[in-house]
Amino acid sequence: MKKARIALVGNPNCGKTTLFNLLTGSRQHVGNWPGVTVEKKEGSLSYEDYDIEFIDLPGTYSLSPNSIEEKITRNFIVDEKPDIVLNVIDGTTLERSMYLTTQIIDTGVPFILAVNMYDEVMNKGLDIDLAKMEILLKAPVVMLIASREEGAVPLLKAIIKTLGEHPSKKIMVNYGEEIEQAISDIMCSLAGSLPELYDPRWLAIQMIQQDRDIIESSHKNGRFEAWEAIAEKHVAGLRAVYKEDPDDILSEKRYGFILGIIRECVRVRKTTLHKIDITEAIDTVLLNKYLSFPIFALILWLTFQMTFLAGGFFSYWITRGTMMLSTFIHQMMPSGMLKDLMTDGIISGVGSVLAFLPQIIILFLIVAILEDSGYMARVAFIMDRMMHLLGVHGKSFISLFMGVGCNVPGIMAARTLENDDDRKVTVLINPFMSCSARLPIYILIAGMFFGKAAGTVIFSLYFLGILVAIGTAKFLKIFFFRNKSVPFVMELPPYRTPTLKSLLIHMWERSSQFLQKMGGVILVGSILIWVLGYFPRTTAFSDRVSDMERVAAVTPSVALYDKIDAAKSAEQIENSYIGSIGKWIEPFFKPLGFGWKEGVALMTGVIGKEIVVSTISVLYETGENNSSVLRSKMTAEGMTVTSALGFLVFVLLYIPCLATISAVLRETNSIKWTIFSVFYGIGIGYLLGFAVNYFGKLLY
Amino acid sequence: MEKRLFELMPGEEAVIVKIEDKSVFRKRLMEMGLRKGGKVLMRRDAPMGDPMEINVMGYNITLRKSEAKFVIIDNINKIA
Repeated sequence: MKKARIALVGNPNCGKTTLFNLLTGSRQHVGNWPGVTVEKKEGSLSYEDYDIEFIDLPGTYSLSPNSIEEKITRNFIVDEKPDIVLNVIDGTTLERSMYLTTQIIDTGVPFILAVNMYDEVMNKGLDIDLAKMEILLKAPVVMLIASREEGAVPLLKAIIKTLGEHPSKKIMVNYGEEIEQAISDIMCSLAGSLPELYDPRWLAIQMIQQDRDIIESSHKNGRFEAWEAIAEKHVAGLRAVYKEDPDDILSEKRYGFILGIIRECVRVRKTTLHKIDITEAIDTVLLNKYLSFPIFALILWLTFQMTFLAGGFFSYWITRGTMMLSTFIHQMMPSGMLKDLMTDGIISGVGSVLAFLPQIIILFLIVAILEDSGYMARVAFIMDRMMHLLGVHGKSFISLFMGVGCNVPGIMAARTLENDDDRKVTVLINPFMSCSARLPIYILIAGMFFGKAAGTVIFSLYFLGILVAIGTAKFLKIFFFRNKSVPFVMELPPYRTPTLKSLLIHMWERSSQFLQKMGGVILVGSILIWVLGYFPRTTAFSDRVSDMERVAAVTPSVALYDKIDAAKSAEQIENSYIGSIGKWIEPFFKPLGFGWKEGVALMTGVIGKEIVVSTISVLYETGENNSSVLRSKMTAEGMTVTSALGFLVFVLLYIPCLATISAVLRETNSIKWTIFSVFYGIGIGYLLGFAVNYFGKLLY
Repeated sequence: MEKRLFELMPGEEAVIVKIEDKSVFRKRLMEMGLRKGGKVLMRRDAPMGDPMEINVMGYNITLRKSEAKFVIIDNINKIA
């Protein structure tokens, strides 16, 4: 088998990924490009006697390295030198789509042009003379309808044919007499000193465009000064002739080249039928000044309901299932450490991972539908005014909104953002959106300490979370993500029916990533917390327990045994490592007004915030539904209304749960930002919790 | 009469004269199809007034008004 590497290059929304899925199916691997959050997709296919590796490069409009996506795409083409660049273009927008083609031509790498969406081309009454285009471009041109799986075989045949050929005469975009002269002068003066990696003509064009990257990399080459002087001279000369930046001239010439090809190859069939523009008709309603928000609200509501109610339904049964399994093992295995590890550590850990899965699957199915249909771009359009105030992109809204249900899918939804900085900021502020796991704590504590005002307190907590998110976004934008060079401008693609295959692959990808990458972290973390609470084993209990046992020996009662068990569990945790840590850090929590029991509860809450409730009830030896007893016990240990409020504020803001931390790690692809997220949350929670307690005491 | 792109009303078409901005943003606009001498059709404003949707080269793009102010246009025609 011969090996070949083929890079898929094209504009966003050109159907590149649909083609990639069509070609490689389930033989895909999704990772990240080093150091950034941009996805790297690779897939393979065996065809005839070739083993072909496909790389789906990020969708871009150009190869000028102004954004991370463009940089990745360009560097891959010129540095990695794939055997063929497969340029996928939307046949209905040739004029714009082929701009990228002209830049691919400049690189000198062999390419194939795949004219996609050919059905829409024909519906529009256009005829494209592909044979003629092939002659003009001196490269294979094939038609494609990726969404209907049409055209893959001719494409593969063209690929095999191209792979077997010796590089023949290549097409060049003619940039006009003066620029061509400059290009050949630069090529001459650089002859002999050129890095062999690059095509000389391409390098000369980059110098005329004053490409910073290339100038910087020539620094390393040691020939920097000579090169720069030559390029400067030519740029100045061209500027004098054209009274414009050579860059602009190049761009105009590119469009000229494209128009020339369109004039030669595209015919408009005489058609009397006046077709309605379906996309425009839908947008008249969906983007209507008065209807757009109600419709969007309805779609959001449905998304939320499906994810958290339908997902919650399955999650409930998964939780039930793991509990049943746990009970079963409890009965089957002999008592001891191994049994406790199995039931309380591993099974409950695995269960908490699996419980997320249905929600993740459903959410990503919906997000994929919204994206592939073209609606997500409209969300950005209608929400941008509001989200821009936060310094993030309109699309961030979906991610933040989902965060109210659960931060994990919310953070994963940030992938729909195209810009790396926006994505990171959206991920980092997401944990402050108060997720549903925090609600049981609010209900318990606010219910106990605030009575009728509980609702208002809970609402204020959600609101506080949003305010902290806004503040954090501003803070991050001002101090860390100052790169303003990436403009908002983006395409509002035509509405299209998503293909089932793409939806399923999308869904499968996210879900399996969740299980692989996050599952491990959550499981290890859950076991760790279990170990800290389980060891060292308490063998000698306090006098209080032995007193109760003595009474029980004389007058046994179920209630009393329950009380003894509760007391033993509480003492076990108190004497365990986690209890010791809790007591050790008690002074840290003193200014916020809560004691070691709350400290321990907060630590166990790192597994999942709802666990705070069960830990509190274990440590205070009350049932989970016995709030009046719990309240008096907490009050007896110094909890006041203000420190309870401080506790709630801290719960809202402190360390995101393990699943969220691993989602942050996965999506920012940066340990630095993950650590930041953890400590920033603690810091801001501590500060605000302290402020609430301090000023609350003054007022109260 | 020369105007700026953000002043265009929905349904109006115009010819692009130049893009004033000097940063990478101008390059991005040119790469996305806003070329000198090309036509641009104003579709609509977003519900809250910003950004705006335009049509160039037969496809729709959206940009913020703060970005659209760099685009100088002329020959305005009401077509829809």
